[in-house]
Amino acid sequence: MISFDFLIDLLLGVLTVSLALGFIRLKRGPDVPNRTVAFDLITLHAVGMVALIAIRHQAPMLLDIALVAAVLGFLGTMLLARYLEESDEK
Amino acid sequence: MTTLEAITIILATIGVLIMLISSYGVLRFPDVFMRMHAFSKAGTLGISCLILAAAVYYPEYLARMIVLVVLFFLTGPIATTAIARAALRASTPEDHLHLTINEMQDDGMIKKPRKRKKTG
Repeated sequence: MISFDFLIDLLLGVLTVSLALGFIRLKRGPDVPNRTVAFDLITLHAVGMVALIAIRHQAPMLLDIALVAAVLGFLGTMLLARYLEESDEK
Repeated sequence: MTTLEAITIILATIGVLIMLISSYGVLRFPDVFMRMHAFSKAGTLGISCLILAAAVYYPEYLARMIVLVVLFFLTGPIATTAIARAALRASTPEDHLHLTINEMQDDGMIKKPRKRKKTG
């Protein structure tokens, strides 16, 4: 019988692969809007990984960190988009 | 493995797989707008399934996690729309995806940003 902790570790591994795909897009995005999309993806993955680690290590206090990380990721994305609208980045 | 843990595993697996598909779409699609489409819808659904898995596992945090899901559903479209406007202003689409009718060209119909009042 496969244990619960092993399955959560497996899911963390799959989420790490997905995060690596986001980082590849961050590296080879041709311009700044592509990298902004990749940044938003990476913040979502950070929230998901914090939730999985909270389940894995019996630490429900980490879920508050996930909430704060979600709000900060949204604010960062809005700042980048607003800056892009004002700048002349062609 | 109890029933609660089984429900947690099922929800978390669905969420992680949807996020993996979303990341693959962001890596694979040829244009900024297709990437944003793949990321916004699928990413919001995947992270909501993951957060609901955490809420099933810790029932005392259920209210906070529902607040987080509502926050994602509210702020995801706002952020995506902001990036789309900025990308349309600041980047050029692919050659085979050129717009024949540009709805956002400057013909006086766009609201100008409000000028700030000078203080003092």
